[in-house]
Amino acid sequence: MIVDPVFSSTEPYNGAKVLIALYAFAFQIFCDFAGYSNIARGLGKCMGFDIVINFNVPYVATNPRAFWQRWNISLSMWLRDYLYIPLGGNRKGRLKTYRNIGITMLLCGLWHGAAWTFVLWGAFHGVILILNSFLRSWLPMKSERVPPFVGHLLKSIRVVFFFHIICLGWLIFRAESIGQAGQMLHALAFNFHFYLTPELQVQIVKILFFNLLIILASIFQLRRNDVLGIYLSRMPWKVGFYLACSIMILVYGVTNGKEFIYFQF
Amino acid sequence: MERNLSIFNFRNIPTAFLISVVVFFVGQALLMQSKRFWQICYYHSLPVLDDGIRFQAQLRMLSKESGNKRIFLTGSSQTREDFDVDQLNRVFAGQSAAFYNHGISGSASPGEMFMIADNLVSRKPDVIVYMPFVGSFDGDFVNQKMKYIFDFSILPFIIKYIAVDKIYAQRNQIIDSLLAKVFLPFKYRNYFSKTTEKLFRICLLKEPSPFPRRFAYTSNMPPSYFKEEIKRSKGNRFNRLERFNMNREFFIHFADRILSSDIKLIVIDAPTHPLMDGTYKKEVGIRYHKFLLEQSEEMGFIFLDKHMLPTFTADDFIDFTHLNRQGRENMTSFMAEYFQKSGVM
Repeated sequence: MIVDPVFSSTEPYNGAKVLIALYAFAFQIFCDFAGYSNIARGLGKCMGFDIVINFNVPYVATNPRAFWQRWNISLSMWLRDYLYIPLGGNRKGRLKTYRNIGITMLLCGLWHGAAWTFVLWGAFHGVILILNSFLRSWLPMKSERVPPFVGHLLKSIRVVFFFHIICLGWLIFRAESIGQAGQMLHALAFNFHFYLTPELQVQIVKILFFNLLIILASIFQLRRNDVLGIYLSRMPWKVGFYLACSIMILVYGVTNGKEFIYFQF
Repeated sequence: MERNLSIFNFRNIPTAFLISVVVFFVGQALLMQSKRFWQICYYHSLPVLDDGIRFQAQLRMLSKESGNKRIFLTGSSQTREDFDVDQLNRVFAGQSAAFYNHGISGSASPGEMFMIADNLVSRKPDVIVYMPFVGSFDGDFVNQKMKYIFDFSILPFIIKYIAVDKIYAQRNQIIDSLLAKVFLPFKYRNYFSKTTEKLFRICLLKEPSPFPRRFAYTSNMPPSYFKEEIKRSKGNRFNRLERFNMNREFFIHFADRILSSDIKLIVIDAPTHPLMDGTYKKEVGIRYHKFLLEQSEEMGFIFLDKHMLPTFTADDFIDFTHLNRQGRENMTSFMAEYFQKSGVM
C-alpha cells in the first residue's frame, strides 16, 4: 500500500515520500520477520521446544551494537559464534577487530541474498558498528548525573536518531538496485519537499493506525522490562489487547497466502 | 537492559483469552441486533462495492413484525438498478405498503437465492419479487460473494454438485464463507477497511462524500462495447446444461420455501438489451423461459415474462442488462401499476 508504490515508481523521487515509505518498511519488515519468528516459537513451544527469542524491541536501540543484540538475535549469535570469534573477535588489536566486524557484516549482508544491495547493506552496518566501536573507545561516556526527565529525553533523542540510521539501512536493503538506492538517498538529501498533501496525510495515519498495537506492545515490554509485557499486564489490558489484535487480524489480515518477505532469505 | 527471557508458561493466557473471546462474541451479537449500527453501515455504503453489507443491513433494519405490507425486490444488480423503491414508496404511501430493494451484484442465481431465502422469510414480507435473467440459471453459487449470503443448508448441495477437485479449487471461498458465518468483522472486512479510509478522508481531508447512493451505474456504454461483447461471447453464453440443471433444482427449493411461508412470489424475466439475444443460443433462452413458465403453473407463483413488461429499446439500457434512469422510471411505473391493478397485495 505504501512501500511498493514508492519503490516501483518511475517518477523522480520526493525525499518526503521516500522517508514515509522507509518508516512503513521498517515496521513492515519487523512485523513480517518478528511475526513469523514468534509463530515458530509458539509452535515450537506447543511441541516442547524452547526456541530463542529472535526480536527484542529492536527499534529502541540507541546504537548499532544494541540493535544487533535485539534484531534477528539467532543470526547475530550465529555470526558471532561461528564467524566473528573464529576470525579473532576483539582479541587481536583494534584494527583487526574492525576488520573482523567488517568481514562478519559483509557476509551477513551476503547471507540475505546474492545482490549488491544486500552486500552494501551489510557493509553499511559494518561501518556503523566500526564507528560505534571506535567512538566508544575514543570517547568514553561520562556518567554525569542528570535529572531523570533529561535522561529520558536524551535517550529518546538517541532512539529516534538511531531509528533513522536503521531506516537508511532499510533503504539500501529494500532498493531494487544500488542505482535506485543512490537516487533515493539523493532525494532524501536534496529533494525533500514535505507538503502535507492529503495522500501523505493518509499514509502517515495508516502507518500509525496499523502500528498502534505494535507500539503499544513495545511500550508494555519496555515498561515491564520484559518481552512478555502484555502477558504479564493486568487482565483488562490483556483482554483489550487480545480483542484489538483479533479484530485487526479479522479485518486487515492477509488471507491470500502471500509469503513472508523474509522467506526469501 | 536486563530481561527475563526464560519465563514462558501459558498458565494465565486461557482466562484472558477466553474472556476476550466472550467479549468479542457478546459485542458482535449486540451489534447484530443494533438497528443503529446497520443504519450507519447502510448509509455509509456504496452499491456494487458494498452490496453484501447493504443486503444484510436492509434486512436487519427491519423489525420482524410490521403493520405495513412488505414487498421485497430481490435478484442481481439488475434488480438494484432497474427499480426505484423511493418512487414506488411514494406511489404506495397511503396504502400501508413498503418496498425494499435487495438486489445484490452478481447473477443472482437460484443457488444464491436459495441461500438467502430463510433470511428473506425471517423478515416476513408479503410479496417477494425475484427478477432473474437467462444468465442467472448459468450462475454458480460458490463464488467470491458467497460469504455474504452463506447458509449451512447449502452444504449438502456443495457435496452433491461440486466435484472434490473443484471443492479444493474453491476452498478459499468455502473457508471464507464458514469463517464469515462466525466472525462479523471478517465477513465485512472489505467494507470496514475501505469505509474507514473513506470516512477518514471525508472527515479530515474534507473530500466530497460519496454517501448515500442508491444506484451504481450512470452512463450508457458506447456501441463498441456491445459489438465487442457479442464477438467475445461467440453467441454461446449461458449454455452449461449442468449449471442449468443445478439451478433448476435450487429454484424449486427456493420457490417452495417462499410459497410454503404464505408469501406471494412474483418472478419477472428481467428486461435485457435488444442485442443481448446475440450472445446466446435461442434454445438456451427457450429452455429457461419454458422452465419458469411450467414451474409457475405447477407451483403457483406469478411469472411475468418479457412480453408482459413495457417495451424497452436500446436507449433504455446502460449495458446488456442494466436499465438507465429512463428505463428505470419506465420499469418502476410498470411495477407500481401492476401492483395497483393486479390485487397481488
